Amino acid sequence: MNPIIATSLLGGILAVDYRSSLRLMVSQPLCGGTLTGLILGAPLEGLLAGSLLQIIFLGNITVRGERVLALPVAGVAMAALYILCGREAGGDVSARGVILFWSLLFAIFTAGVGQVAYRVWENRSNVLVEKAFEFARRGRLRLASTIHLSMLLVHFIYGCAALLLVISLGRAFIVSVALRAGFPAAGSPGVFLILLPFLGVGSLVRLHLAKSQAFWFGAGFLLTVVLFLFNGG
Amino acid sequence: MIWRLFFIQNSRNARTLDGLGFLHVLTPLLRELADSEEELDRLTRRYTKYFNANPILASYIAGVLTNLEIRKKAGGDIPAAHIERVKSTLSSVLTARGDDFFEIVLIPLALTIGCIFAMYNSYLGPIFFLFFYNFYHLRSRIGGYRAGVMGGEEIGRDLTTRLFRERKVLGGCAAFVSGVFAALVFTRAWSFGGPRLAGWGIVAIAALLGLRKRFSVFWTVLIVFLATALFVLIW
Repeated sequence: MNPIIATSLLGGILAVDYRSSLRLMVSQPLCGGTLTGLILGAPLEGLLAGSLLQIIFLGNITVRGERVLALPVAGVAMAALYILCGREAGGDVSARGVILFWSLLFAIFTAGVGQVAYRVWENRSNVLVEKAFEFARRGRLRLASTIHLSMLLVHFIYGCAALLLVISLGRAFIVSVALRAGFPAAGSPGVFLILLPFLGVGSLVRLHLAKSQAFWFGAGFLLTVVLFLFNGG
Repeated sequence: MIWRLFFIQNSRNARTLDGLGFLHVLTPLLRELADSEEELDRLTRRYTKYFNANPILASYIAGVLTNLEIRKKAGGDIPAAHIERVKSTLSSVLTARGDDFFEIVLIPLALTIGCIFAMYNSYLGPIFFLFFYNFYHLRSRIGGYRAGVMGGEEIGRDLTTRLFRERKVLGGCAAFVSGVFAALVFTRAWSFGGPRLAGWGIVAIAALLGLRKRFSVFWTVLIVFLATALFVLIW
């Protein structure tokens, strides 16, 4: 099967896991990236790409009523773009930094657009739900349930369509424009991989300091630093 | 009925939130309890409304309502208004407790441990995350419905006490693990690029904390990400 179609189908399934409240959390980028890697035959690269996106958004919690970023779809997009464009670049290590930068940028935008799309859907689907309630009140409970379940398809189709678009466009752009121009000339992804986790640290600090758990946070931090120093830095 | 609980949020919308999903969960019960079309109509009308609860702990509410409806059917003196009151009280209490436990403590804790493994290229990361999270998740989803059916409305108090206890322990663990994660990120940066890289890390954290007061997660992450890319270009 075409790798873009295969990963798009995976994205559709993960979108269902996340939006339907099935919530086995296979849809988190950490798992979604690894699964994408498995499908594309590069699980370690998938794990790396997925976990990087996960780390960036690590401490950003979403309680009810808040806007939810479409991280499941973004996780698959990130891993797929990183792996597929990496193949096109061959063994060129210096291109990896460029690919990582653009894959992440596409993934962050995918997450943002997904958030807006879902908000629009939540507002528009009122009409369908009212219709389903009308059927239920007339005793047609099966039809109401069918309407409810059919909305799974909306999440699935959105996940598939968004990924088809993002992976196709992203891959074409990264390979034909970004890699040729060598922009940004980031070299190997090493420095990116070292620096981007600080975003996750920032949001975790925000989460735990706000919850008066600074003592335990500090204890974990100090203990690890002491162990690091004892091991010779 | 239990499998229906896994799809409660399918039709989440701005007006009735998970109202249709909750009706879908209770449909088999309503059919079983109603002796006539009129009774089914009367029962259904009670559930064609707004419903908002944490999707995982909604299982308890569905269980408790099943218990109440069955007792009412068997001749118990349970007015419809009481059932409505139990539903709305449990929804608000369990939503607050459930969001706090699952979204603020459990998921960040499991993900942080998973990401620490993943940082060192270990597949244990996603595997640990899935097992750890789903242990609590499935226990509450499947066990919650059964507990609700068996225990009735009294279960709410026991459940919130238990969640409060577990939240205290896991909340401390989450903060500790986050501290470990932060130290690992710092020491890695220090080993790789000395004080300059670690210094940028502190700037990135400060920028993130400052920007989050004014901007959403999306814009904050995007701005700090682009600033980091710029730093890498200069570095």
